[in-house]
Amino acid sequence: MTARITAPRPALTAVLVRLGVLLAGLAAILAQPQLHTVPTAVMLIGVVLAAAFPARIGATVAIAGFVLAWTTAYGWHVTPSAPRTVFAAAALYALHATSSLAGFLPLDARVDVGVLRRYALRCVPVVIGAAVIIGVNYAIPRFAGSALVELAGLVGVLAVLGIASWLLLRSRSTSEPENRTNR
Amino acid sequence: MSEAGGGGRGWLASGWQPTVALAAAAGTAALLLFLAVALHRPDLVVIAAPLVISLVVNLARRPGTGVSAVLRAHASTLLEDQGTTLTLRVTAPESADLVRTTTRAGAWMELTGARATRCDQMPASGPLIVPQAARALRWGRTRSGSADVTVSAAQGLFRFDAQARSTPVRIVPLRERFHAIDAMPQAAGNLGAHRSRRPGDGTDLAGVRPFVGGDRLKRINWPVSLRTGQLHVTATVSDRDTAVMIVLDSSIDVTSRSVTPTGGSLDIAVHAAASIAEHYLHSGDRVGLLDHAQPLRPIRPAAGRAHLDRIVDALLDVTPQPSSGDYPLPRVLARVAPRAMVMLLSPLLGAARPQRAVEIARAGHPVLVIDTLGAEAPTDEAREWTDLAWRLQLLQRSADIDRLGEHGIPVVAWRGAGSLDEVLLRLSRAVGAPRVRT
Repeated sequence: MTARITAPRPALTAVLVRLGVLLAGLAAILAQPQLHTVPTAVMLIGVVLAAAFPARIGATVAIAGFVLAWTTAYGWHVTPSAPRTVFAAAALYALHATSSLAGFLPLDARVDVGVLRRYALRCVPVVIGAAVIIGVNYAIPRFAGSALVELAGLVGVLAVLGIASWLLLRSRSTSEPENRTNR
Repeated sequence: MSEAGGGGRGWLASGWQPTVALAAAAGTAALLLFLAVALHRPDLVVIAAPLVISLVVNLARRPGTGVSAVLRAHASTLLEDQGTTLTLRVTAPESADLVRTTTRAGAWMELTGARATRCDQMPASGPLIVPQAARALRWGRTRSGSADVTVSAAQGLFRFDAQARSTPVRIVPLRERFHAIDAMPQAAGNLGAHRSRRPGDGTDLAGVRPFVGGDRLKRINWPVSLRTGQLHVTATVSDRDTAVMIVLDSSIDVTSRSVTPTGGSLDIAVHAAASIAEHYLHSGDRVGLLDHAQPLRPIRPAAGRAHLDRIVDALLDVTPQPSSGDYPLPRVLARVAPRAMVMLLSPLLGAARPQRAVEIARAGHPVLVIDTLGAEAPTDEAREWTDLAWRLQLLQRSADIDRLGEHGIPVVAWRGAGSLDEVLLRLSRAVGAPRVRT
């Protein structure tokens, strides 16, 4: 009954994706203006875990460490420079996207290159949408003081949160019963 | 997971499940936006923006339909060492990011060729077809394999797990090119391939004798008749068929299974039984099968190609299991094959003691014991006393074989073609010799 067990070599594609996780995590660390010990250590552990065990909570730990480090580094009511902020946002999104992908790519799998191409292409709308929001975000202060703009900003944040919450609730309510009847 | 395909051909499916990445992205985005408002930090909105947009875009893109996976083997009946292709057919939404498939071989099967785990994208139309080469290792009834399918969608925010099971497959034991002489100690019936000791209409020459009333004219041997001046006829012996009852002792399987899946005593026995059955059925004889462990389900002796399939099919179910207690084996044989030649396949070791052979011989059957132990020692548990215990077993076995010889029961090790010739000849002579009852 015993089949011949041979340890397959790690697939290059899967290794490269995990390397991407590591690089994105390191970029997120380097995006910090000051490297405090505790948040940096949390991020580093999270990044290593995310690269080694991408299907687990490594990426979550790294992102939580990033939020902690970023908010504590500048103190209250201090706005960092726009390039550094955009770089940090890009690094964080790259960490999230690559660790999500790496979670589905075992090291011993044969990976079709088309998978990576499709995944990368699907990041484009997100990047474009984020660029628009970031642009608006940096344009808003020019109109600071206008009650209308502040109201629009508040409504915008609430709308985004509302849509995300509604989609989350919808996905949770329709996920299981619908698909268990497939024949 | 729930059974979705029904019966043995279905698949198990879990439904679309949110992943850790979804929770992490949603939690982080909400926290960043909250902090942005609470701390008056627009930079936090910038950092949260890609995550929020990613959530909105991918949640809207979440697939609605499910996933199904079916694994099929190209052949439902395989010979040992024969290769086949397992084809996994995955039906999933085209919008899925990737389809991860892991194919596993069933019992007595082995995957060959490419990696068992693959990550592919769904084709633009139609299902995803994933072929995987496999090879049959050992005879038996099994499933050719199973496959785990995981489909990722919405940039890893959702996953769908499904498991596909393949249809059953029969792995038929390879029959060696076995042949044996046509000498049989006990022939029965009026037609067949074996020479009997009785004169009759056959093909083998028995001698030339004077003509007597009732002889057929076509049998007159004219050269001898002219030379002697008296009519002589060519006498032949009648051709007879025989019934061979193969008794398989499956009460013990001596093997080191951790080293190799094949080569155990039961493996040798099954191969020998299949080879013997094929040989004698090909010769026009009748062959039956009796599994020692299942004495109440014998296969009665019969002839023909279909009967060989029946015997081989029964051999696929042979598993090492203790004998079902004391049962009158000679009585079972007397019922299903009263005058059959019995070939007992046994390792003659431990639980498979040779007492059965003696009982069968006493019931009047010619018995030939085929030793199926082979050269392999059970090396699974190499402990301090294992070697000594094994040697003691072999000593006991040797004594048992000697005792069988004293009862006139020959024991021959299975060596494939021709290994039974000498013993069959001796058995034929022994049956023809005058008996002295003591």
